[in-house]
Amino acid sequence: MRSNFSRIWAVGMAVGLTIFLIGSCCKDEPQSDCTDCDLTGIPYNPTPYTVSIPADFPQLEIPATNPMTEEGIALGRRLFYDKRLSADSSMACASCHLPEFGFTDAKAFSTGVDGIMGKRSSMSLTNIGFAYHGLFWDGRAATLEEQALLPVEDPIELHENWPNVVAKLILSTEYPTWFRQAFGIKDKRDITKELATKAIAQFERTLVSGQSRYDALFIRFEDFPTEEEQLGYDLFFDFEPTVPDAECGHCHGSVLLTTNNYFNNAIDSVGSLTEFADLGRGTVTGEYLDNGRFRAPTLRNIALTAPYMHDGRFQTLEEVIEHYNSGGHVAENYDANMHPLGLSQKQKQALITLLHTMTDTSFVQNPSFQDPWK
Amino acid sequence: MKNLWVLWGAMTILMFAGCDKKNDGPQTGSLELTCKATFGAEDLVIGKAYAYPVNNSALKFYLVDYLMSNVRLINSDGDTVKLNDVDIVDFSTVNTDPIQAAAGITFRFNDIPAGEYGTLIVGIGVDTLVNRTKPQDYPSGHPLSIGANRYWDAWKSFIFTKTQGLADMAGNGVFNLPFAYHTGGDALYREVTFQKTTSIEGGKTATARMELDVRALLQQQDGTYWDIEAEPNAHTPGQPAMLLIMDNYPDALQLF
Repeated sequence: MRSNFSRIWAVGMAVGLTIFLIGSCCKDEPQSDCTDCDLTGIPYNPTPYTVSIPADFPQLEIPATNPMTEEGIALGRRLFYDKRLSADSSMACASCHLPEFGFTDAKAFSTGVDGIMGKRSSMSLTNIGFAYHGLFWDGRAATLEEQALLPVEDPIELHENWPNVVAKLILSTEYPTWFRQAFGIKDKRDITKELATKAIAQFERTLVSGQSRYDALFIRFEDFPTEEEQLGYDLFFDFEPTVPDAECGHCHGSVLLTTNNYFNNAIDSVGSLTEFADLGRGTVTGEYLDNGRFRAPTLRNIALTAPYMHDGRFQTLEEVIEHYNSGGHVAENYDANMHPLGLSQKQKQALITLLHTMTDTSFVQNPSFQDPWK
Repeated sequence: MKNLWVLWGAMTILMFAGCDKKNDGPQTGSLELTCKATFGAEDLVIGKAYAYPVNNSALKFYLVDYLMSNVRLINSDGDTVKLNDVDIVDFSTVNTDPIQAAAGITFRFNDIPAGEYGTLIVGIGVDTLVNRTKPQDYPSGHPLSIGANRYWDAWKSFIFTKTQGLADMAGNGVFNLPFAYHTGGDALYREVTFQKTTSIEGGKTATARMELDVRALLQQQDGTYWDIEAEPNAHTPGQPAMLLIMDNYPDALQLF
C-alpha cells in the first residue's frame, strides 16, 4: 500500500514538474533579458476613478472585471499613444485617432505600417464608452477591451503581434512599474495583452464629450440659440411641424447624438444586397438584410471628423446634407426614413450650423487626453 | 388507554404533517405568451411581398415592432397580477424566414399565483408615468434604453410602434416607395383587453398566443385601406396614420 502511494506520489510530482517546466519555458522567452522580474517592492495602491458624466447622459457601464483607476487610465493613455505597439514603432492607436480631429485621422482610409490602405475610415472615439452595441463600423467587437486587441495584429493597421508587444513592454524600463501600479502584477512577466487592452479601454472610457454649444443650448438650456441654430434643431428632430423633418434624429437621436445602431443610409445603388462593395454589418452577422448597414457614428464633434461615411466618400458636411436631401438610393434594407427631403438652401445651411454647435473644443483640447509622451 | 392517547397523538401529528406536505407544493405557475404577426391570414415574413387592397399595390415589411407593457391577468375577484413592465415585440429580426415567422416570439412570465384568470390586459406603448422617463434612465439592453432606438425627442415620448417597409404602388413589382409609420405620445397609449380564461396551475406553464394582423392596422373605418402613397410617413403626433394604427391595435390583436 505504502509502496503504491509512493509510486503515485512520484508520478504526480514528475507530471507536475513537467507542467511547471513547460509553463516556465513558454513564459520564458523574454525572461532571458528579465534581470529583475520581481515587482512586489513597488507599492500597489490603485486609486478608484469615477468618470464625470454630464447631466442627462446615460450611465457609463463599466465591466466588473475592469474597474477604472487613475493608474489604469494613465497606463492606458500611454499605451494608446505608444508607437511600440506597431511592428516598426511608427504608429500607435492615436495615429488614427487624433484628438484634434475628434479622435479620427481626417482621412478617408487610414494607412497601416506597411503602407497598405485600409478600406474604412477611422471612427471617432468621442463618447465611445457609451457604445454598447458593438464597435467598429460593423460591430465586430463587443467591448472596448475586445476592440483594442484587434488593430495591433491587423496587417493593414499596426501589423505587430501581441507576444512581441508584451515582450517590448516587459523589457521596457517603465511599463512593468506602471502595470504593477495599475493591476498589481507581482512579476514583470505577468504583463499580458489582456491587461494592456484593459488599460486602453479604461482610458477610452474617459473620452466623454458633453460641453459643446449644443449641450448648452439644447440639453442644459443655458443659452438661447440663434434663429438659424433653432431652425437646424427643429429640422433635425422634427420639433416644428411648419418646417420639413430632415429625419436626422432617427439614427442620431438621444443625448449621444447616435443610437449606435446599424443602418443602410442609402449611399450606394445596388441591384441586390449582396452587391455592396463593403457588406458592413452583414460580414459579422451573416444576415442578408444586414448587408450594407454600418454603425451610425455620433455627431458630436462631427465638424472635425471629415471626410464622412464609412469610406470617407463625402468631403464636407454640405455633401452629406445634400445626400440626405436627395433621399439616396432605394434598397430593401435601407432605412425607410430616407426619402427626398426637399430642403431649401436656408434649411440645409441651418442643419450645418447646428452640426457645428456639436463641436466640443474643451473635449478635443483636454490635456488629459493628449499624448503623454510629448 | 395510555396507548390509545399515544396513538391519537401520533395520528394527529401525521395528519398535520400531511397537510404541511400538501402546502409545500408550488403555488405559482408560469405563462408563455407567444406573439405572432400576420398579414391577413398569412404569417408575416420580413421582405415578402403581400398584396395590398389599394389599386393592386403590394407591400414588403422590413420593420414591425411594438412595445408591450403592463401585461396583467385579472381573476373574477378583481385580483390583478402584473406580468411585465415593458418588452419589445420585434418581428424584424425574427420573422426573416417562414419557420420563425410561424413560431413567433415567446415571452415567459413566472411566479403567477395559481388560479383562473378571466381577463388578460396588454398595453401597447408605455403609460404616462413611464413616458416621463428618458432612454438614458435605462441600462443598455433595456427595451427603453438609448440603443433600443425608441425615443423621439420632439414628442417627449417613446416610440410605441414601428411599421416600416417598401411599397409597390404601381403593381409592377418595383418596390420603390418607402413607408414608415411611428406612433407615440401619451394620448396614443392603448390597452387591449382580452376576455379569455387563462388557467395557471402551480408548477406548470400555461400557454397563449397573441397575433397581430398588420394589414388590419392599416384598415380604415369604412373598410378601405390607408393610402400609403398619399402619406407614406407619419411620426408627428396628430397625423391621421398614427391615430389609425393605434386605434386599430385592439382589433388587430387577437388572443388564442
